[in-house]
Amino acid sequence: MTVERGRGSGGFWWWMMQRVTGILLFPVLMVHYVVTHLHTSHYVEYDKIAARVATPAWKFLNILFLTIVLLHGLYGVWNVLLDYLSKRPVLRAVLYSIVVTIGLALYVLGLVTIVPFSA
Amino acid sequence: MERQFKIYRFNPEAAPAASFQTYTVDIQHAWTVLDALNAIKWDQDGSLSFRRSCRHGICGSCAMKINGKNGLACEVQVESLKGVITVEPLPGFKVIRDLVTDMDGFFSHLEAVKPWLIAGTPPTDKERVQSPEDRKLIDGLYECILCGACTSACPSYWVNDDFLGPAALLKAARYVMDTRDDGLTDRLDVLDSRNGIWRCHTIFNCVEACPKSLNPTEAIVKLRQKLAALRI
Repeated sequence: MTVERGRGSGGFWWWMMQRVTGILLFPVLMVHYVVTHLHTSHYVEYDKIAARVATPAWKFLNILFLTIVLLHGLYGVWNVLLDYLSKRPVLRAVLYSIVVTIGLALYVLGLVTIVPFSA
Repeated sequence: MERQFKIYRFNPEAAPAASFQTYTVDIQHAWTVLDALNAIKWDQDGSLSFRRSCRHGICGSCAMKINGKNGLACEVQVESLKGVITVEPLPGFKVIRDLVTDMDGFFSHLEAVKPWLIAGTPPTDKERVQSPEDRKLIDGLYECILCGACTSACPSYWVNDDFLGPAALLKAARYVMDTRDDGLTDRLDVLDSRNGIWRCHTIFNCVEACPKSLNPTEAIVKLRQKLAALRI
């Protein structure tokens, strides 16, 4: 029997995070989809979009979107990997580092794209 | 009526690889797959190995994969199956020989969840009384016959046999939901472990596989609710 011991090691809070981000993702995704793909003019014009994403509300929404997408998506990937890594602690640590690094890199990339827009 | 049975054969002492062998059996009305396997073993090929005991769907010995679906050989009617009937050992478990699988891991996982009453008060000379309403809380949880069909059908278990699996978690829920039991915290180390309740991906294969029509996925959700109530 190789069930790992240690109270709280199983990931309750990560599991809860996945549910919360999943619920949050739906309305944020709908707003993003409707505004950027349906309720838009015929031409995609940089100036119009830049003016919109420079507003504090849109910055907040985009940062929220970026955060929950990365948390939800990468934890989903990690959850799949974890199924295959129960007996491979070294590979688990390596892949965990890679997933976290990818997440941080994409988060920074997203932030440096969203934050600099100014009205 | 004659029916063909394509049966998984594996004898590590004779050949390293498994193969299928087809038998033709003269089936009588209302025969189960177990009746057909017995007919093969007794009249055609005594080397065929499989577990069986009660023949009444309560001992859980004869769980196997029949035409791609886990079930009890003593409960599946031959007349309910179409074409050549394929019989294989339970997937996910190591095969010892033919249809006999190694259940050691399965039972060690069961033992890990402490499947017995852990009462918070010392025993007296009287039984621990339970109201009919409280007793209803464990309906759908206590009926498990430990055949292994659910755990064997679980894709999470296929890739990670350290995962406790639906049978052990259903049994844990049977005691956690019992109002006479105070053992949730004693079981937390295992239930909340890396290979505990969070590894279930709610695929529902266990629900489809259970020959007793139980719902291990729902039991796991109940355990999660209990654990969430403790954490929040």
